[in-house]
Amino acid sequence: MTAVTDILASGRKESSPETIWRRLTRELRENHFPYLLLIPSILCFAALVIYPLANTIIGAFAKTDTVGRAVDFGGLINFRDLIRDKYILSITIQTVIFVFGSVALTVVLSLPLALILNQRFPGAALARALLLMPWAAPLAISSMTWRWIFHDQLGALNYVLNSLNITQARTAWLSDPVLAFACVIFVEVWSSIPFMTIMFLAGLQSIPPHIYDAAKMDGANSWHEFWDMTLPQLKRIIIIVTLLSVIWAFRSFNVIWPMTQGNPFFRTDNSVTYLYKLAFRSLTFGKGYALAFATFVFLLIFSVVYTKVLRSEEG
Amino acid sequence: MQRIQWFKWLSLVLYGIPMLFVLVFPFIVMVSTSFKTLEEVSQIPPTFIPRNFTLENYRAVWNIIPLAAHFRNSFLLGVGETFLIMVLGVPAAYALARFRFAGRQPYLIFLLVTQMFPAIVVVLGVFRVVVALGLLNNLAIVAVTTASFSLAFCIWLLVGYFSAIPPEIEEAAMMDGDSRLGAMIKMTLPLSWPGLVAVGVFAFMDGWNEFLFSLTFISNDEMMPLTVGLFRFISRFQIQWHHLMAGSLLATVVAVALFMAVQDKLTRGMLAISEK
Repeated sequence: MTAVTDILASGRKESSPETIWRRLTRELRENHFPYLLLIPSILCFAALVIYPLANTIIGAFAKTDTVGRAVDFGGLINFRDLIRDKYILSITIQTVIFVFGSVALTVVLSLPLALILNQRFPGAALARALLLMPWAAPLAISSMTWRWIFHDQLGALNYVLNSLNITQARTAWLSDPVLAFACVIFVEVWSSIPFMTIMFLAGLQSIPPHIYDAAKMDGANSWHEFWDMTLPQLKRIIIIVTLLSVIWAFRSFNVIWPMTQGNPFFRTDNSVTYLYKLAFRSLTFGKGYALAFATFVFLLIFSVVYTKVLRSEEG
Repeated sequence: MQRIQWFKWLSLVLYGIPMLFVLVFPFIVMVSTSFKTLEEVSQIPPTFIPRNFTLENYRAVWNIIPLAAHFRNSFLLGVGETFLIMVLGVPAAYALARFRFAGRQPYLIFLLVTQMFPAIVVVLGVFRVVVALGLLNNLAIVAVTTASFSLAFCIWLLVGYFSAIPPEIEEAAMMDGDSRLGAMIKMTLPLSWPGLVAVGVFAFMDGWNEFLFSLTFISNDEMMPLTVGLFRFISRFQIQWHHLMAGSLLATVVAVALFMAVQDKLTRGMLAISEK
């Protein structure tokens, strides 16, 4: 993490364009091997990351036709249409709840799991293998399986709840807007727990055991030990994993689309699935570009502010 | 000490085991449903262990949708992505790990920034080009876009593996008369083999599990990978859950088995990223 933040910081310092340019041309003459190695990846990024991004940005400020071509300069017309869109407010709120809700839940659920799995017990290796299954499996397919589990008449969830006498109803999980939204968050959390737990677990294992010795002598209890010694050691990992998870949750498509396609009534859509609908269902590419642009700018600002705040906290 | 032991078992039983159960629950359901007859699937209340164990669903799903073609396509996407990540990512990661050059840090920041927009942005941005070039229903374009999208993350992983290998080894080889490239190929690549395998498998899985690009760029059944083929299968017909689960289980088993083989190496690589 420090490397990442260092890079962000130092990158800014040396980014006066003239010095970079001069250094670059000089180095290209004297020391061109690393640049040769970078060429394939740069070409790939140029064609499939920078070009589409530029296209999206241009499209956001243009009038577009039904295959997404920019036909005329449009100014802010797409953004105006976007703001006037009757679903955009609820989509924005849903996206924010979906992202931060699922990441917060994932952190809260993963940390204790990592602490437990960090202990020695028979079957620990098996437990870790099972933990990783949701991460390894194709998420789109797992989401369809969850859709089956949530099925009102034949689904396994209602069966389990009914047999345990928690409820006798055949709840229609994915037809009720609120329940369906809770369900997609649940599956997003389900799919993110393995990665986060395994990162925490690896972090726990890299804590030098001797830092606990002194505490044991002082007779510190386990809660104290966790709060004052383990957690600060894990801080770095928690920070980077949370940032990554927020970014990934913002990009999430493979949970919502196979499960609900945003139904009922756009109440489980996030910005990505809504974007997909704007472009490929209603063929309003301009609005789609505008929403994509807004999402990207938001994530960029979020990441910069997040790393900045954390840097200043670390002193 | 006694108290701590007691707490450990309690937390395992009350939290660890239920959590693990929820994590594997869909896979249990997948297995259970895929061996049931239609009659038993539509029975209320459902059963967990199939009463009339049947393999019929596997045969059925194989006949209803072009499952063999889906398998082939998913496999091609996986292999294609692995190949692309290796060709594009390994040289870049090696340069970033070994050399300090102007533009190195801006490039690393750039890699980070590419993580910040959704794949749908790439889809939107290249869609009309794909249409214009007549590349719809072309697996290669799906493989390339998917690869370009996870390339940044894979480069970060590879930089971690390469940095762990002491540069002195290469210097020794260069003193023996090898070129820089020769030293890299002869010394560093073989030593970082486990890391390369881990990233390769990660890339394969990424291609195997791909959904969004295939969903947008492919409309021909014969060209669809498993994820999209199965999704289309349930969108098009009335959902035959027992057939879907049979297909799903086959698709999942491949990914999970591969992943388990390299998970240790891979998680260590990821940790290396976060520690830096």
